[in-house]
Amino acid sequence: MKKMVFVLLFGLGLLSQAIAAETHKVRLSDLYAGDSTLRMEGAVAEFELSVPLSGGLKVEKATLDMRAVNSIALIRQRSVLAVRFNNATISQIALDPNAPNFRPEIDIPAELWREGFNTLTFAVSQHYANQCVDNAAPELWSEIDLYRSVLSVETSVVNGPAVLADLKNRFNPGIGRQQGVTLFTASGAEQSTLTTALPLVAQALALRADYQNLAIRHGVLDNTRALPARDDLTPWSDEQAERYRISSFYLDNRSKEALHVVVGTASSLRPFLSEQTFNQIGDAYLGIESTPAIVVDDKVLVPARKRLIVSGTNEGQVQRAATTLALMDDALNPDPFILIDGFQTASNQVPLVADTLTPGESYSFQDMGDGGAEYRGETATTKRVEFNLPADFYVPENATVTLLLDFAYGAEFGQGSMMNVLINGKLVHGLPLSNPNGDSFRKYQLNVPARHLKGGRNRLDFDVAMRAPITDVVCDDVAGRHLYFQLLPDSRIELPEAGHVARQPDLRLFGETAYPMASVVRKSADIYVTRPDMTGGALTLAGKLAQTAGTLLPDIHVIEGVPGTTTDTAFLMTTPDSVPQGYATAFGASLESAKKWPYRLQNMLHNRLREAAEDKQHKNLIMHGVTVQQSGLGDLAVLIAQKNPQSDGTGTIFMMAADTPSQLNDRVQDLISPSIWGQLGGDFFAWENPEQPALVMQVADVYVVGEFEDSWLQTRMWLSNHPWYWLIAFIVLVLFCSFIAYWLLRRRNNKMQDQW
Amino acid sequence: MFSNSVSGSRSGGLVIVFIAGLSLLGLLLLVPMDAWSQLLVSVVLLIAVHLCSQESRAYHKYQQFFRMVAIFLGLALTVRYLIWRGLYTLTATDVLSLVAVWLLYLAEIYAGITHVMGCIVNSLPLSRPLKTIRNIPEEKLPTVDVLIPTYNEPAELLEVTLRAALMLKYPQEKLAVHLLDDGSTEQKITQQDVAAANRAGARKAELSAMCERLGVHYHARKLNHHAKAGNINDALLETNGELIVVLDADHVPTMDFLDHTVPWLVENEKVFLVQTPHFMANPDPVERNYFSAFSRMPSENDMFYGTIQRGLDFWSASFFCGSAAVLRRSHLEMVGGLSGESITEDAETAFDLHAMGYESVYVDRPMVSGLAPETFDAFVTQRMRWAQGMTQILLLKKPFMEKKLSWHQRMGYMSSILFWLFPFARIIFLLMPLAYLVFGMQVYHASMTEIMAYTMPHVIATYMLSTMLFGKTRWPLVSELYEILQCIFTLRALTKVFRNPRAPSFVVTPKGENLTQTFISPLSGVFYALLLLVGIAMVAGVMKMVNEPLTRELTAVVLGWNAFNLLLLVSVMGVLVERKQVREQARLPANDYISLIGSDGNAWTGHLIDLSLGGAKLRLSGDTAGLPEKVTLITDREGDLGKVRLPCQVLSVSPDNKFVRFQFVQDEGNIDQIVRFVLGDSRRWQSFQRRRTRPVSYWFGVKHVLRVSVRPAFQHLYLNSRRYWQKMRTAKGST
Repeated sequence: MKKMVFVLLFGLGLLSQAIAAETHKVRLSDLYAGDSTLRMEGAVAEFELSVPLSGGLKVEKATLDMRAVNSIALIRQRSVLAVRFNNATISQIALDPNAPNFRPEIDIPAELWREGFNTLTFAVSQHYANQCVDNAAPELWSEIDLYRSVLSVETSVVNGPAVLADLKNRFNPGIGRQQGVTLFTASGAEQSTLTTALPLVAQALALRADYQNLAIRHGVLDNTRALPARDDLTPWSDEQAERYRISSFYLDNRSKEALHVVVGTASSLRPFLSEQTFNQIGDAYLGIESTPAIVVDDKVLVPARKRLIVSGTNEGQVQRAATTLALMDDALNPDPFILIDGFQTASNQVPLVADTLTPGESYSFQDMGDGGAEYRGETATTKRVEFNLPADFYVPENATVTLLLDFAYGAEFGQGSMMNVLINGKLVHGLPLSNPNGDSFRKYQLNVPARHLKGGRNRLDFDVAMRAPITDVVCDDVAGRHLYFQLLPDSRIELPEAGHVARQPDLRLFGETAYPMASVVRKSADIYVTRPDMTGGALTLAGKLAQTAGTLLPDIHVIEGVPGTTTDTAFLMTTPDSVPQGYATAFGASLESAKKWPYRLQNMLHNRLREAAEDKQHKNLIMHGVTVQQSGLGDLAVLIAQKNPQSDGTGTIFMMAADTPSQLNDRVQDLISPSIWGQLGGDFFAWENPEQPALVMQVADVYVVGEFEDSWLQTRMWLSNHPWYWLIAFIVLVLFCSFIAYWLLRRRNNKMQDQW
Repeated sequence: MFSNSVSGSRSGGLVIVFIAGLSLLGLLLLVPMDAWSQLLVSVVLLIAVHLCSQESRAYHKYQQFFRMVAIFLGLALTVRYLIWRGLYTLTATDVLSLVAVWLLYLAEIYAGITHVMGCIVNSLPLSRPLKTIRNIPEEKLPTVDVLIPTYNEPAELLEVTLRAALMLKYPQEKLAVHLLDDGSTEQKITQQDVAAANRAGARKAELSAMCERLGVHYHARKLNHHAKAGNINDALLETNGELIVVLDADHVPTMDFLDHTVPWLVENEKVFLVQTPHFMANPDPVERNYFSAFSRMPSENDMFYGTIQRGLDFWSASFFCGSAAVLRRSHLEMVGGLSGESITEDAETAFDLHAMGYESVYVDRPMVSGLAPETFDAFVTQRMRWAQGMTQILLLKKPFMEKKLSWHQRMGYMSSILFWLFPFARIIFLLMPLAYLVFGMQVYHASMTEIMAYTMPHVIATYMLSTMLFGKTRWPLVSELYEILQCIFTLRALTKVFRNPRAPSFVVTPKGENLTQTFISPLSGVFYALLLLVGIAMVAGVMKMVNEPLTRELTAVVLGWNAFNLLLLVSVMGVLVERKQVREQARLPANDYISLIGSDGNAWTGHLIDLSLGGAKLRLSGDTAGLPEKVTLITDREGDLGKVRLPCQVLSVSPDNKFVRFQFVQDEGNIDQIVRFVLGDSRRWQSFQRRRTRPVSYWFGVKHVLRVSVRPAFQHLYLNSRRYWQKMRTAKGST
């Protein structure tokens, strides 16, 4: 009977899990990369926002609380704001000049939502008169305050059998996604599991979250813990104890994690696995399972959970399973578990290479996964093509990148129609679309200085403005629906040969590309923690680095303690009182208890005040040196980058410190937020919240790292940094040659004179 | 002997070290560096070039060393520029652009090579001492035949030359003067054109009578084969002097010509040639029409004879320029007389004799005054012949492959020859901006920083070196003007030579022409077309600047380049206005202290201001009152001239500024004395030459060009309008 009650309660537990609804609130500005105020101008304007929804969720209710304002010059009858969701009009709001500020609350029907990206469209038609409206009239405008407009979505989890394919639903960016995850290892787990497998799993999950934050924690499974005492003091039956053993008892009951992960060899995890699961682990193993809820006497002692098991019979298999987790396509795994027999790769290639264009090669947009663009009607829009280059991409200044564009535009484009081409925000070409018969270009060649490209993510923008022709007849506007522009995916980019060189330390480059922790050259770059409770922060960072690089970084390990010699490039997480010896004295700024702060901090403060006060009497302060002081960091965390003093090579060490491990873990969460990560720069970076850095500056001397495959390029870079050496050598040689020439000429002259 | 071999092996070793140093220098120029660093070193190097070239002009022990350093630094900037252009900028988006890019680069390479050669040739111009036959016993002096070939020059012009030749300071029994008349050959006298045949007959009668009167040997051969070279070669068969002096019909020697040239031939048996400068007693069309500053700025000749020939002389490569030279008969006979494969037989003969191991000498003292072509037409005719002849030597003799010449002689000849290929480069430089500004072709792929780092330093360094080497004898922009003036016509002539190297024939340069009125040269049309094209490019460039902001930097650079071309073309307009010149004799500045004695014995003293064979102008020291119409000019010049007494007729007196203008009384008894006084003293030419060879700053040169350019441009408009107006009126009148 008791058994039946237990099972029933177990089922109820699962049910309760399925029907638990959650409300998510999202500011529209979070869904938009541009300015937080959306201004729509002209007689007709339309704007689209992508609203992602995580998989495995059912939308119960959704409401859009909008804040908007319109021009008071509009006429109410003919000025309308239409809100569409996935192309279905869900609301029409008359733009009333007498009530220009409006705050509609719009229900978005639940059935319109779909998994993945949904489109929220704002379309306005604006008129200030009943006829002859000038499309470009300045009074035709309305604004939506994206920051104060909030989307509320109530979701429930769709229950079903636990399969690996669900992973994408859990972590993919979107409303309702899982924002944190705990990775558990058994106490006494093998070292390689801790150092290698965990970072791989952390990266695998972070990569599913794309660019969104994923907080990763580390927990230790302890099977020595005694069974909790029951209220009625009755002892646990063997069956109950066994259920308890395989449940997620190790998780905090308050944890909202829908999925957690256990990592380790089958033997180390055996105390926590069911017999069936343990027996399934015959090779590298990836499995997802539901753990039972433990409900005793109407009290849920342990709720039912889902857990991902990354395991194998030995350490190698665990690593293989972890790597597979990062590389596999979830949709192809509708099974509760898989066994991985092995990898078949062409070479020992770094996965980063696969995602990065190779200098010296030519790629079509299609090769880069871009399908080109097609635009119709009167519009001004931007087609963006993005691609990755090696972070240490270095080209001589006279190298050129060639764009061979295939594009066309139709007949009857009006004045003001044009296409601008920008590389990383720099305008490199402009072309008026002015042929009345339209035009079609094949291999339209643009040679652009390759210095416009940079290591990491690069943007190629095509700003296209399509304007209808002007008829010169009053009130006879051409609608412009005939306008048609096409950018074909056959368009190519030809990259110049480049070397692998970068100036260091550079936190901006680190933030944009994860370099040098991520590099096309296979080299270990480890994260060292001085305390075990910083492991979670280290794993979160590893995940962020993988997100930044856009691929798995198999050579990142998380190591507890700092050895005498670290990897060439390393990331050290520490508290001021545990800064290892040798990492304080060699730095311009020191983070240990006796802190060394560069004068430049003081210079910056002085100069900022001077500028604010428009003080012309005093000069800019430029002082060199450091202040040594005994102080704490408070809520601040500091990240500095320097040439690694403890490595054999010329790598860079990144050192992050906060006063306590818990503060450090919190600051790592802040660090990986897009706003802080996006503002990384200099080599000295301090912050205390996820919004704004406290200080960004360059402290250390710049040096160059990299591997020159081309010694010519190496010479160029060295000489460019040290032109005086060239000049001195040159002048010495000129003097030498001049002297000999002078001597020889004089000799000839004397010889001739002797003849006279 | 031992010390010689030690010194030889030491210098051999030094040469190897020098070559190694140059190779290292080349390697250093080849290594890449970013433009900002290049810009930094360029600035330092330009400052160094400037300082060294300044030091090289001061007289001190290390003057020549500084000159050498400046040359090396400047050339390094040029070589670096060409390397950079070749390695990094020769890209194009289409075939047409590629052709344009390469044409421009080839033109730049050409300019670079001629610049490098020019610097080497002129690195240490030779200064020879002035020698005299006074130190040589008379019996050791060789016999001399003075050969004066003529074709169509008038008797009056020839008479001056013959009289001056007869007055050469040299033992009379060892001197014979010969007039070689190619205008009165049997072929000419018996030609089918009766009028022309009659004219040839009359000419023969007139010239032979004149020669008989003066005591000159008259020669007229049967056929006119091989033009001037053939004429001289035929005369060689009829004469027997050990030395041969060749003088053009208008080339009047000063009395000391043989005095300063013959010793070089007496002292060194290996010398086959002693060349002296051609001093022009009248301005060429550019000097007259454009600058009107013949007596104040260096003449075009001054650069060649004042600097380049001395440079060539240092490298044993100074060559025969057709006149004003003494040659050794025995050496000439070894090569069968003057060579006749090309139409510049002079340079060709020198080339042949240099190849045989004989030596040439250049005496830098103007001892022959001649006439430059008066009209632009004649000027172009002369230059086309030179260009064609030198190119013939390049194609037929291939001096760069002549193993019998030393490397420096080969370089000397190549430097002189390659110069004449300038039309190809000049036209490319002139028209290439159009390719970008009008047709949108990307002919120059460089950023503004790169242009500042490579192009500008190269241009500035080239200018600095040119100023250092030729600053005294060539003012800024003058070379460019001469090149533009000639390029179109010479290009056509050169193309003919390249098609058939033996095709060109000798064309006599017309000289001694009088211009009775100011008119536009008939050759102006092509320059109008060029001006129009460059003007269109200017308009297109300005529009490009306004409409295409993305390429504004490059457009600004090309527009600047085009504006420079426009300035040159506008300046060229000045040359094309042929100014009236009615004076029969070229009048040159003079400063002799003279006395005018009247028949009553009263004397008026003063200084000559200018002087010609016809007369002179002077400023009296005292009052002009009582100056009679007939006076006698008395002066006592140092040297060979001695006392001069010339009866004169006063033409005008200006009591306010005390100017007196008079003409010489041209009696038979006086003419020799007039010729001797006016044209017989080389010191007069020397001082005149020194007076006008002075360096000016670049800005002065540019200002000068700008100042004299504006008026002629309007003059073209005025004269052309007047011509059309007259044509219209004539047409109306006739109807």
